[in-house]
Amino acid sequence: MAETHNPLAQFEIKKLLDIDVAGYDISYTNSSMMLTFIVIAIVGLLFAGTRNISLIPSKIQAFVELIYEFIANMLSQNVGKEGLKYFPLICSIFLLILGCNLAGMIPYAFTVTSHIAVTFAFAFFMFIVVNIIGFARHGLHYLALFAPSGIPKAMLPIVSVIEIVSFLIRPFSLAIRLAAAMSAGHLVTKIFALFVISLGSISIFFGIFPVLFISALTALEILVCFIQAFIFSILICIYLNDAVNMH
Amino acid sequence: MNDIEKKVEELEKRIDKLKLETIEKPIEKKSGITGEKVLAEMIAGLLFGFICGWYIDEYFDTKPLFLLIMIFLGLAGSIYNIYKETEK
Repeated sequence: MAETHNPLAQFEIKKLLDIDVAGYDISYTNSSMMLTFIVIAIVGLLFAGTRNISLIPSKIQAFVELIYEFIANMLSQNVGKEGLKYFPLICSIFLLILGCNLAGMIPYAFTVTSHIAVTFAFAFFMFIVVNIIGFARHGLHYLALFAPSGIPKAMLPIVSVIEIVSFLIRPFSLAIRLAAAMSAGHLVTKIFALFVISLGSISIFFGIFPVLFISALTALEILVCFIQAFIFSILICIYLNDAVNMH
Repeated sequence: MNDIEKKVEELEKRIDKLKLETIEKPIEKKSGITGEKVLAEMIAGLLFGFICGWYIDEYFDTKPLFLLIMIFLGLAGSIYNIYKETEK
């Protein structure tokens, strides 16, 4: 009884297919299955939206155009015209995270982004890509990011060490924010679902209140899915702005 | 015909100018610091310090030294990040 209703059971990783390559465990799990479905869904959506392009867009084409304009606006506002070169990077990470978040809202589905291993992989990969862009554009001059102007020479070593550390913290805070928001929402929903059982055993009447609360919470969760995907990609945009334009 | 082409050109120039104005317009910076942001930043700083310190210690075999230094540096970095965020 207690085990089957554990609120944390929804985040459990189950191996579906055991694969072992040179001592590394790369099994196909329920997490990777969800990721596969999400990627297929996103690619399918984009293919369907761009297959028969017409001046008067069909519904699905209008939807894809909406996504395009949303991300292109975000890039041009945060990075400037130069940033539009990096549209595929931001678009793919935004759609992937949004897909993972929203797919987690389907009952019985696994929430991929609730695991810090996954979100950290996203964040760290983006961090490396942004830094490669920065070094490619500015060369070693990119390191001037860590030496803010207007600082006395004597203070420079201390300040630049703290600058470097606070720069390296970025992928961690990105990963933690996304994973915490997603897993917290799912945990709260599950815990309130347990209240339905305990209150409902007193009287059916009492059991209704947690259900009402859960439906409100689900709406809020869907909003959080969008907001977290948006925050993740807008922060990548801000870091990209640092790398592209350098203050 | 020539007249129309001229008009189209003029209009296109105007569109380009307006587009540039909207794109180059600096975004209004709103102080978007929330408790959630601060929390994520603080945890991230500690985590970064812990992980880095742990592995540096493992490499040089100086067990608690770098762990302590890096945790404090991580905290300092996260507080610096929060400070920068509030300054905007």
